[in-house]
Amino acid sequence: MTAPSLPRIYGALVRGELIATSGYRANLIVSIVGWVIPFVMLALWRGAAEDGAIEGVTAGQFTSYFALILLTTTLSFSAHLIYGFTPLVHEGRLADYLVRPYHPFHNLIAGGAARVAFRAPVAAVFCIGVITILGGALGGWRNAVIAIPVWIIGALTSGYLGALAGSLALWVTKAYAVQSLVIGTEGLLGGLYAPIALLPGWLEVVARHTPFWFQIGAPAELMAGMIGPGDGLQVIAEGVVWLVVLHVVFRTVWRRGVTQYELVGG
Amino acid sequence: MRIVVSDLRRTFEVTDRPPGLKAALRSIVSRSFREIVAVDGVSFVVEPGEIVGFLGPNGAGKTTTLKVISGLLTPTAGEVRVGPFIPHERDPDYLLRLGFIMGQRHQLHFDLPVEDGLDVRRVLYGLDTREYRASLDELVELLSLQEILPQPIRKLSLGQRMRAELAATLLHRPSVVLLDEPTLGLDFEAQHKIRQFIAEYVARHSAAVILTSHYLADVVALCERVIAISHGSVRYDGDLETLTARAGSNKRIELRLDRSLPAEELAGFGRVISTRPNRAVIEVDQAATGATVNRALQHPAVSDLTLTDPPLEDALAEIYGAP
Repeated sequence: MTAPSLPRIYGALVRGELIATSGYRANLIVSIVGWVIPFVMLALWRGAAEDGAIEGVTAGQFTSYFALILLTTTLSFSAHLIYGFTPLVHEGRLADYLVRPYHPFHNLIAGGAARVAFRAPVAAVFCIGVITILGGALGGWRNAVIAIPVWIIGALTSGYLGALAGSLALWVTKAYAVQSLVIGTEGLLGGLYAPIALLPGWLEVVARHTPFWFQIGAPAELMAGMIGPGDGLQVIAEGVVWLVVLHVVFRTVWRRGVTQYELVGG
Repeated sequence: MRIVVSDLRRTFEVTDRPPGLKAALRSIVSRSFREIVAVDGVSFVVEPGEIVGFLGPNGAGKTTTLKVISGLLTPTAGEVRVGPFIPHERDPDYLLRLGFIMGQRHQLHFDLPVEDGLDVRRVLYGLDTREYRASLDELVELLSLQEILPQPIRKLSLGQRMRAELAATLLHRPSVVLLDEPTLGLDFEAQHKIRQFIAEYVARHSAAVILTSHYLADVVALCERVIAISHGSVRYDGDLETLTARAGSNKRIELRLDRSLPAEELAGFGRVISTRPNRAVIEVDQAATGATVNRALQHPAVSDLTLTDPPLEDALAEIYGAP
């Protein structure tokens, strides 16, 4: 008997999650089409830009930006990891996962991936529909090609940040307050409420180098033509560095966290 | 695989806080901790094919010991080895060979039908289709699972769920099986089925099994050997018969009576353990058993009697209470 490879593990877990998710139709439908924030922000910023561009962002770019945010946020795993992991610790269910021959976070990531599989196609249709009907502005094909790896790297890095924030529960059992802060920061620095160009100068600089923006705002800005392919390549380079650093940090935090978890009885 | 536990010690840190709101508020600023010893110098060996009953009162250290053997906890001192593995290193190759049932916790996805949940585990435990089919057929037969295979776990009764969980835990045919209260909350029939299944599983696959249960019937039905633990230390490690005999050299005589007898008259036979209308249980020294039985049978009010050993609970209570 040998341990299966990671793709096989994910294949099985995601398949299981797809079957499980299908069992709750009402919840599934609401989760697929239940976007509120991007639509509210779209209406707000598009209206504000009717009389002219704001910080260089036109009404057409706002339209495309928030329509694309519908799509980019589907790959946002951090909240899923945080709110999935913390109850495992708090309710004493983590032990069930620790005796399995793979990392407990794989289960949670698979659950998130199943949600993406249902949500992303619908989000893509809405996104194209909104851009077409409301006349959104788009960048060139180079921007679109670069946006994809930016989006994936962004999703991985913010996933690591979510896993790190979730792992806080190994020390403090209930970490919702800190974790809510992380999720709020993700929305702000990621560009969920406004393109980061509209943030105060220093905050924009910070946001431009965080995984949150890589995942939510950067691919949307690229596709909407608000930043160029060169900016996208820079995000990819920075994202790879972030990935390596976060991977190492997560491994250390996880090892210490599990030891701490054991200290109080597991 | 052979389980070897050597001089295991495990301590925990717990918050030390008096009750009440004032103390709770004070603990936000300043908190004190104390160390508790859950397991202290426990040693034993379990061979492949052996089912060992691991008994003890609540808080004795049973579950902590099982958690260390499963790799969920690291020993504070001492050593645990299972075959070539050190459990707390959590080598996936070890976890692939481990089956651990923890009370009413879940290994199967709550929202998946049983068969789909088992199929996910087939992949996660690296079983090929032929192995899976053979194992599944065996489990379906032994645990009578056929009817519940298409049903989601969340819709099953407690007994059905426990059978499904057992199947999930043993699907990959683990060579080390840790069963922590596997029959907790189950009705008699379900308990009986699960006991039969465990015995059959071990006979077929020679797994090393450690069983904890508050239902001594589980232990009596399955275990030839018992380890009793109290206050974190092993108080008894030996066969079940010897343990029962340790209750003392006494025998119990259950008398069936045509009419109730006064307490003084019953006391004439031996120590009165309990009385009910037309029934009484007397305990006598083993040497005096024959004479007491003869006397009882000659008594006009005694219509029948049954001779038994004192229950296992008595032997255990004595062991748990020993310094």
